[in-house]
Amino acid sequence: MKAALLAVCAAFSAAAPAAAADLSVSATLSARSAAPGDQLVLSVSISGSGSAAPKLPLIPDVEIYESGKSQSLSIINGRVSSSVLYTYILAPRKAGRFVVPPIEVPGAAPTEPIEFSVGAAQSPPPAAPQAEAPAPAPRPAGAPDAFVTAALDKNRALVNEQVTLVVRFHTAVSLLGAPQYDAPKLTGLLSENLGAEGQGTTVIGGRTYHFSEVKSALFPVQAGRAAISPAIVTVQLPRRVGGMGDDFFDRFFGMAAPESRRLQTEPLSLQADPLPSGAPEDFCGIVGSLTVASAVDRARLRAGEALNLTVTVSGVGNIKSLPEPKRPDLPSVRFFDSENSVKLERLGDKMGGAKTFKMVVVPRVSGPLEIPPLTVSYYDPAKRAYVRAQSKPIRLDILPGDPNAAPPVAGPGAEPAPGVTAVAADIRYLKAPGGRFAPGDALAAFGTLGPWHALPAAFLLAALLIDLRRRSHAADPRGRRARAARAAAERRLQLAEAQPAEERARAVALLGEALTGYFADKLHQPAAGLTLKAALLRLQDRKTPPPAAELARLRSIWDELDLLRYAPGGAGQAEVKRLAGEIRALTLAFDKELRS
Amino acid sequence: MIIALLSAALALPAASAPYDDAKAAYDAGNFERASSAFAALVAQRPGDAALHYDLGNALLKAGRLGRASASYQRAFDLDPRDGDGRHNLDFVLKRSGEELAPPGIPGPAFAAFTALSSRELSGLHWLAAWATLILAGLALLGDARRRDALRDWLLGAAAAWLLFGLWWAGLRAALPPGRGVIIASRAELRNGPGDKFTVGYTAPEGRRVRVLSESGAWLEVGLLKEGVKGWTLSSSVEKL
Repeated sequence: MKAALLAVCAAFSAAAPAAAADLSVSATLSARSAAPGDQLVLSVSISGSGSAAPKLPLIPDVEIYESGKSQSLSIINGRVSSSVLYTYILAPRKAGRFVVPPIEVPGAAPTEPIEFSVGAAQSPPPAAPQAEAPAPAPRPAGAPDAFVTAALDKNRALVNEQVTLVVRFHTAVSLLGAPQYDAPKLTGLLSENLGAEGQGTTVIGGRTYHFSEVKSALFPVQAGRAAISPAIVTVQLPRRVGGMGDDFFDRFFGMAAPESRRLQTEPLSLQADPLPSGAPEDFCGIVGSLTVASAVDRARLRAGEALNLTVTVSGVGNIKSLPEPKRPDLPSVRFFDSENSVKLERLGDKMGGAKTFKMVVVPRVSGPLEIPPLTVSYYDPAKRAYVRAQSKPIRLDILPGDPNAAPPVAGPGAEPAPGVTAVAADIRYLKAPGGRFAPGDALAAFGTLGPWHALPAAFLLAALLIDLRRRSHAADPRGRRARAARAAAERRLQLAEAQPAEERARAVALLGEALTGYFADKLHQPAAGLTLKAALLRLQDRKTPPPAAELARLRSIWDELDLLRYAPGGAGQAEVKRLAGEIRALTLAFDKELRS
Repeated sequence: MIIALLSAALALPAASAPYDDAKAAYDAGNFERASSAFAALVAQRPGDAALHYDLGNALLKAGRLGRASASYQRAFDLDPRDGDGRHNLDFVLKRSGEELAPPGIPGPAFAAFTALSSRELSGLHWLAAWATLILAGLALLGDARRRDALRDWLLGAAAAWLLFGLWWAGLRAALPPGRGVIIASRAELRNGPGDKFTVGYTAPEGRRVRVLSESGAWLEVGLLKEGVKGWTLSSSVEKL
């Protein structure tokens, strides 16, 4: 009998690996929709013979915590088969639609993807009628040879508050073979095994029973009704022979005819209530009690060097689901993730332990530095209030950094071309100087000419002035004729002087044209009809008439030319030159007089 | 004059004995000695982009990321079309948290924008200006027939002047004067020019900065990428 009880305990608590055989894996999610802040429970069941653990893929924006595993084991005709249930908590970090990708187990087909959504806050489901008192463990009527009971320490709890489930197996006879235990299936609950305990003897209905019990810590993951399916124990009992008692002979004969019996508990339910409002910003979701401690491996280091910061949160509650405490906002410090570890402990009937967060801290600035207290808030059911636990501040002395410290090396950047595998990125080799034509150098030199760049502007300015002058001349034909009068007269005089001796008449005519043309241009008169009298009148009518001597010279030359023009034989070459000189001097003098 | 300048450019001396010595030191892994030798060559010929590039290589191999970045930047300013220079400058910039092409600007667009150096654009700008002004002067001096003949040339030159002028101005805005590179391992940027002011930021070695002002041994610098500024020791910055 005692050996049989030990076998039950072993079956309850041990996770025996199974021999390799066919495996099947299935996954279920506690709900397909949740409100922000809620947690979901993913149950992965691996059944069949063999030992394998699921590979849970990452889900973007969803924190995944391992919650535990439970195992049922059976040995039938010498073949070992087991069913292992892995439980995970999914804590979405934001609203939206998510997919649990196919979960792979070596030797088994992957599961189907599971979609779920996190939307607006949902009101908790209506509370079921509250049980008036914790339900006593039901017991079959009469006094059976063996039976199993299950009971909760309370029927109502807060979300993530521990509830203890006790499954107790009673037997009044010796068992034939090892019993098979199937743990209850949980809906909306996380489970941690508190271990086998409580073996003993009790008297029920006047019959003595040996019992062995298993305690589990259950944590509701969301508000509402959580269900606990029956726990099942399959045992081989000795078949009773009529009239025989429970003595040596009964046992001897009974062993030859075992009877297989399937015992199960009543299904249970638990009402999970939401936590009170007013949770602080650093609330970690734990219902229980916590303490926070932090430590560093050294307090004096150089800027740019790293130290290890260890933060340990310990206490009572669902420690596995504890998130990392919020890091202090220190702009001069850089934090790098390192590793987390969980150590669970049984504290009486309570589940607890410690979760340790290790991180690498790199101060970037020299000088004294204080890492402020790290805080974690939890809900204390005894005080019925949110409580904040915090570590002590840590003071560091940061020395100036090492100037020769090299920054981290960047990895290869661009995608490699087909057929080429990037091994490492590096700079390219040296380049010989002056080995190639550099037209840019000539352009660059041209750009540095400095004041020489004023040359085209000066050229343009000059052209502009010339153009303006030309335009003004074009707009004043009378003035232009007057200004060109002496030049025209000079050309005629030179032509007259160049005439040969036999063309003396032509020379005199040219001298006359030079004189009359000059005054016609100056006085803006037609040269053909200009007489000496008309010229003198025009000159005398000016505001400032020329001096009388100049007018007299004009009259003298004009008359002499008239005389020569009509005289037979004309003038000699010397006389032409003299007259040309006189006309030249006269026009020069009148040019000054007629300028105004 | 342009022909003379081109001739001068073509007449640049090729690899010399000092260069061979520097290269031999580099090949032998003596990067400190190679750095000194290339620095001497750069002092002799500061307009040679290849020498700045080689000096950057030697400095980087010697572990001086900031000074290497400054040399590569100078090489890039002188010869922006050199693919090796672009690669090495981008390499060191990535090690200090930057990239050659500013964020949000496609690489080919940035490569096209920086295909010509600032001094080349300056030369093209002045060349187009000369052409425009001379053609305009000739048109003014000529008669109507000549003006018609010169009109298309004049418009083309004026358009080129405008294009290269705007391009040059844009490049100077993107790569303004007064730039520098952090050469200290981690430069501390303080709120004022002195040790008594608190450190607001730290800047990694090799990060490009703009020198805003100077006070004694302190420089006020702005980080181009982050848009922040602070004071740091002038020994922490190499001006470009």
